[in-house]
Amino acid sequence: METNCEKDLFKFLPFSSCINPSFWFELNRVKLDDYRLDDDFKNLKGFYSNCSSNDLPPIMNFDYSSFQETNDKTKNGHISTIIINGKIKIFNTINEFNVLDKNKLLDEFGNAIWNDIKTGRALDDPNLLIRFCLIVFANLKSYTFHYWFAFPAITFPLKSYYQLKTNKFTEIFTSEQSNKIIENMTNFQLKNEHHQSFFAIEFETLNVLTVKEAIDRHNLGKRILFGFYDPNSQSNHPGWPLRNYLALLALKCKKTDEEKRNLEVISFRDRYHGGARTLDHSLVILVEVFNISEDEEKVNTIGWERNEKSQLHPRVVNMSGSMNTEKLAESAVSLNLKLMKWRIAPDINLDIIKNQKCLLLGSGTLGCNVARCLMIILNGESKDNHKSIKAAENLKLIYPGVNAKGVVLSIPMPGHYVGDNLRSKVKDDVKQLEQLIKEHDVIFLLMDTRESRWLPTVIAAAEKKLVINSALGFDSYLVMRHGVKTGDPDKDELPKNFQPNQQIPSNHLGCYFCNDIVAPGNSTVDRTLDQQCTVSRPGLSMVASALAVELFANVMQHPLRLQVPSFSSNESISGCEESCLGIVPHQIRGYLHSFSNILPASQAFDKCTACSNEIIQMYKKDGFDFLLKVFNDPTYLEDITGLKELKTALDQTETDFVTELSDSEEFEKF
Amino acid sequence: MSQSTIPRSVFNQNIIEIYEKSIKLGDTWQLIKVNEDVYYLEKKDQKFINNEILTLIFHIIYSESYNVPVLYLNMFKSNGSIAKYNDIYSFFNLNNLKNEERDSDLILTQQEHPILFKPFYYMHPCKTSQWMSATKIGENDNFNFTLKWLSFVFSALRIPLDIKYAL
Repeated sequence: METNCEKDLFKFLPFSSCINPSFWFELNRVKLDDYRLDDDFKNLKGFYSNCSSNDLPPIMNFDYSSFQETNDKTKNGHISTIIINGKIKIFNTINEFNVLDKNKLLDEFGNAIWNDIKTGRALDDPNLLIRFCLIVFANLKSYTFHYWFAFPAITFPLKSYYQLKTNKFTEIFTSEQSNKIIENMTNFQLKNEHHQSFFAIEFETLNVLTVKEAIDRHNLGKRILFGFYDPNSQSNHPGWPLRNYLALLALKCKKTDEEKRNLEVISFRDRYHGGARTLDHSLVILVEVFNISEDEEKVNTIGWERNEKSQLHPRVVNMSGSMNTEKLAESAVSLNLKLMKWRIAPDINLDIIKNQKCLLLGSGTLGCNVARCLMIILNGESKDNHKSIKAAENLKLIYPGVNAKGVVLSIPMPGHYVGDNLRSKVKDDVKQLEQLIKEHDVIFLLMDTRESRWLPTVIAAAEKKLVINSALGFDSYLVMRHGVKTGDPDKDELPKNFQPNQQIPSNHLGCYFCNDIVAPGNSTVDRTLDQQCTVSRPGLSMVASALAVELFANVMQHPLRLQVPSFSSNESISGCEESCLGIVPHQIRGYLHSFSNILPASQAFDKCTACSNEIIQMYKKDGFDFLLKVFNDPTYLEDITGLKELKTALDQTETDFVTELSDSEEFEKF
Repeated sequence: MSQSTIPRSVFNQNIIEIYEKSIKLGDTWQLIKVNEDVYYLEKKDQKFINNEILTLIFHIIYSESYNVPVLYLNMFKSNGSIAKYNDIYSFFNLNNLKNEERDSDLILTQQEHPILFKPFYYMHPCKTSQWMSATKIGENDNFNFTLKWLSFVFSALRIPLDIKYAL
């Protein structure tokens, strides 16, 4: 290895700060709970390692324990982490942080070190020679931190240290001697309460001495090598702590008549190599040190850390990705979806679901459960109705990233009379509902009565929106998607001859009311409480709402989307329309009693009281006036759809059926 | 057939053993005690890459639900910002895995650390018992289950582990 014969200006490698994310979490907590508005300097601890790998710069680490009283951790006399005491000042405003006189602050620290050296405090406790200062401004809302470290080191104008000669440890000491030194060092450290970063070795005896003792002996003429735990393991350059150490030695060591003297310094690197403890990487350096006295006129201080671009500026870090709960929740949801895509359903189109605007009508158990399910699969908007503002708030508590708005409105219903005094309010409600339906992509009908579903069904059918309907019985449930018309009357016209086992295109599929020959009327009149509120088995609403959401997902994943047809048979037919998530049935009727479900599909009824052509046309033509007639007269719907005639016809043929079924009696044909 | 799962008491014994070996070998594992029953191993590693100091932290924690050790890790820059998925994946060369390899639990996902409650990356333990029982090494009871697990996990992530641990 090279030994320098020329005088080289000493290069000291400065510390690089390295912050563990837990440091920011703890700083956040400490500022909020403990320091609050107090922006005085507080104690802080930093950690450096004596045995880092060869290609690392000298690092001082900071983590959550920097704020605590920690103890040295020595194992077998070998220490890997050395604790340094410093100060932190957390400013309350960015302005204060910026306008602080940084040079003045650094000088204060430097002067404090110089004082400790002059007064002898540093001789009694040489660990005082290494310290640091951290100034921070923490924006606790956006989780951004402005920070700047300083590792103060004192310098004297026009005076420099020179590196005269550098030797490997092994060139000065044999391995036997090296082992002896290790032994002595272990004993030395055990005698002290705190680990000593600065020490000295008496060449003659190989004893490890305190700095104070060593200087005395040196001054008496003994050969002393002054050592320090070097945070730097790179090359021939010692780390930063040597700077202040040399200042101490320059003052306290015996002076000569010349302007300078030579001192031997050990850059101590105690590490394990191949399972054995070794000092082989240490260096012994011959240093030329100038003379100084206690009344030096000027003492300069250097040590502000340069930022990533090597400028003398503070650093900024944005920790919102790790500390902002909204972002964390968002990334967790997005990860779940991505994993689905990678592992299970590579064809899944995540964006399509994400961008859907969902309108949830009804915020009872069905409404709340659907909302929860939706949050997991989409990051879109959802609006609730009734009891809904609180529901929207709660949604945000569960998943802060959800875009949810609660709307309170009453849905007027057929057969529920609207008095004159209520007329204008009901008109506004209808208008609001129409607006909501227009603005959203999918409507979930999750109310607790049959008739309350009528109006949204009509509006959504007119607007050609997707409707997912869910209704509960005691132990049975229905989840279905309403058919969606194309708007083209030829295409939308229902075929006269319906064949079972055939495919039903979406614009011919039925709605919730298609299978009923009774118009929705006031079902709550004359009912007891248990008949008015649907009493269901507790698990039912969860199953139904989950299926409603997943049915919606299957529709959206299908290339035809709203226009996807269904099969009226329960068996899956090969080549049948499937999205990457599976088939898209028209209805799912489930029975908890037998834990089973069936998947019927039915064609729309041309006399349906909600989605038939007549109704839609009348709604489009007369708007609220038409609706008002429906609300006020429960039989109106049956009249205009032709249901009334159908029922009359049925009544007349009824006797036929009955007499035909009876064996014994004679019957007369009409 | 080798053991596929271990109780917490065995895990604790395992990691104490690993910790003691670590001291002898001059490695830097730390044994952290949370309470009477809960211990875990921590290792910190720092690398200087692209003019940036990268710190890696590894935790070996016991999974109560799967009865196997779990690896938690974190990677952050010198300013404390935690590495994103892309950085982690490219660092451990996981981007080039084919689909079959992807199916194994080499996927690192971000999760709340069960003890520190901070975001950490972890390797899901659902398949651990499967592949641990499939190996033939150390079929006798004396072998350190966690050490064996660690040697597989670290070699999959291409992190060096001193062979002397096995001695």
